[in-house]
Amino acid sequence: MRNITFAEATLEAMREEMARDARVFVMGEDIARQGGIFGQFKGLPDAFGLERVRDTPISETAIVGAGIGAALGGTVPVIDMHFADFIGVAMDEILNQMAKIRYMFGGQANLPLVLRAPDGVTRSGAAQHSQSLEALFMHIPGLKVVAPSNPKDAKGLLKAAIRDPNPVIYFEHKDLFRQRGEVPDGEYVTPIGEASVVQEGGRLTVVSYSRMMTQVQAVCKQLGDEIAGQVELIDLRSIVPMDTETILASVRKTHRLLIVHEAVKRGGVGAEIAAVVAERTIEYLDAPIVRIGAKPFPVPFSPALEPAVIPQEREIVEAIRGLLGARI
Amino acid sequence: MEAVVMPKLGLTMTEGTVATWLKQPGDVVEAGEAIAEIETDKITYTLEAPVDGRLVRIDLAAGESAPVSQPIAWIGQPDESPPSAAAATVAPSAEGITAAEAVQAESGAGQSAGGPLATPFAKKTARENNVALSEVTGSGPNGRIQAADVEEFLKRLNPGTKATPAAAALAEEAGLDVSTVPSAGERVRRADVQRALEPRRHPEGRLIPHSAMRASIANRMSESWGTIPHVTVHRTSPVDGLMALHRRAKETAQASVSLTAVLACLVSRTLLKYPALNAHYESAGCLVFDDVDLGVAVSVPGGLVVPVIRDANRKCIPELAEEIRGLSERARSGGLELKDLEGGTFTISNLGMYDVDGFTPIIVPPQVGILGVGRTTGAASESVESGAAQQNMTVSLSFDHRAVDGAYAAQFLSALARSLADPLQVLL
Repeated sequence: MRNITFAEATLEAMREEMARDARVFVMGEDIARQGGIFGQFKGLPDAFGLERVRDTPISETAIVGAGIGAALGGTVPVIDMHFADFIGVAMDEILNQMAKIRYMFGGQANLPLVLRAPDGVTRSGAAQHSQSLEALFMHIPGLKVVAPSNPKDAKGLLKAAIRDPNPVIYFEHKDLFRQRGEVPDGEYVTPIGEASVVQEGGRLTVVSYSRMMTQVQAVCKQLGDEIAGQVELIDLRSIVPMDTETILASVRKTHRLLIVHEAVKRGGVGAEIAAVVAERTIEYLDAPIVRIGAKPFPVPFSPALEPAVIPQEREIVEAIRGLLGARI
Repeated sequence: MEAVVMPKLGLTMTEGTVATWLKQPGDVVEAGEAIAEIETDKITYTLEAPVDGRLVRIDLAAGESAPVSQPIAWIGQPDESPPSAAAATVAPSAEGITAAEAVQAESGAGQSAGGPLATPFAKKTARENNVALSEVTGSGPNGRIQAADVEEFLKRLNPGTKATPAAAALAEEAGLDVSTVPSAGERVRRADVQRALEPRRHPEGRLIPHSAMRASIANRMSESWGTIPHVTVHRTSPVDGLMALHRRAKETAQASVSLTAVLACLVSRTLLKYPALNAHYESAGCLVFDDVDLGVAVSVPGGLVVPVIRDANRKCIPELAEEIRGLSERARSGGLELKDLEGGTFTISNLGMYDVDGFTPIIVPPQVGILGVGRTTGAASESVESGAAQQNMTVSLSFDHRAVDGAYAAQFLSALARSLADPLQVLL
């Protein structure tokens, strides 16, 4: 085990996969020259050369389009969006090409493409640099979507995404890049589509992912003995395909469900989870399903207003206490 | 048009009565405004309007009763008309419920008519355990029933009785539900089941009305205990002299002489030196007597009487013995007259014959003191002169602390103790 940052963990995944498979290459803005704005590509040109670590023009359309073409042509591209917010520029490439091509051509070609998309709120990133957009892509058939919450899963899921023959959108939270965590030595892959039960508990299931997972864990630690043995914590890790069986099994045990994500609550991943639970196991619910997500506003630049939009630990504490205390 | 229904105010309430209508048809009412007083056999409850509107019609006159959840009045807009009275007063029956209503009831959405608010898991738990949710009290928000409430209900219903195999077998044989058997310990034992099978003949107890004597004793004891600040001092002392005197008195009298008679002799003579104890307490002062009219407590069937020996201090032991015997016999035969019982100045109560060590007697008002006599312990000695005291007795003096104090009482007991050890002391 080593204690390394989330950014370092993704860099290890890149190095290992590029070393393992000569078809793997990476391209995006400021990757080769700068090493990525979070240092997540640092040193790759020295190790693998500029043919496999390519800087691109500032054109998301070109980056995604080229990535799709290269994948169809037999390589395994990893393309970087710099900020997930910029993904809109390349939306036609993603929803009409990347998600559809393999189906429309009857599986004659795979599309082993990884689209890395740093998302989420940092401090005062403002409306165009703070979004969490996973729900948009969850809605589009043909895409896999993952969102790790810690260095270990960041590495394992990136390796799994690179090896997957299908297009995978890899959301990595900007605020997590510096976060440290234990990463196993040696080769491992975190399978896409498997949630992780981080902590077992008997009375409340909390499903979260990405940065909010760390917030939920902090809250649980803070509440300590008050909730000892009561909260079952599930790190979703993969949005698509979603490990609904793990969630359902947990809810059937605990009878209460709280979903926490940083993305806007309205039409979010939480809505999908709540719907699945209601459809498939409503008779096991002993309290309303509670969702915590961002309020439906563009994320404010103002440091004073940003916390009013983005979920805070206090809300999580209130929801957990409310659900466990039969007040919700 | 909104129906005002007879509210269900408790788990066991099945119907209620309108005591008064506070609003009349045509009155404008606001949601939450009091519109009627409802009475059950237990409480009176103010019924509030469920919605804003006008009280259109009253279906249940004041003083009349209706089952819970039956419409008793209608609130609506002036142009609306309520359903016909006949239709409205028909209690909803299972057959009459439409599919839509059934769905609403199942989902818990219709709170007033469709059953209580409950979570899906609570419903599942209730269904699996054959519990009617209407019997369960919800602890969640808005009284919502949660699974824990159903489980709590079940636990109260059947608190997992543990029984020994023998108890279970006996209960089953007798057709008795072992969970209903009260148990002293954690598990129901065979003896518990047997007790349950043989019900007490008078589970609520039997009332024995007070006899005149019992009522009189009760009154005097209450009066004494309630008004007299009692203090009791005890003394255990050698009584070899007393016992020797008792033996000699029996020889001399040629008749039976009770120990009480000997004690009466010594106590009455000792009291002469402590006149404050041979007295009546009165509000103006203590009425002190020169002679001792000694009350002697005598146990009789169903109670106790205290006949009085006049001038006990002037009577010799055989006389006292004869008088006590006579009074006791008359007491037991009911032949005492009022004059035999009045005017005591001090009382002796001897329980020594029952092997009582000591006790705290209650003063006979308006007297100031009472002497309780315990048993004699130890072996009788042949002579007083041998000096080896062998026998002891505990005497307890209760006194009225308003009249005398502890030191005075102690001095009296001390003097009495000396005369019990050596009766000649009374002459000194």
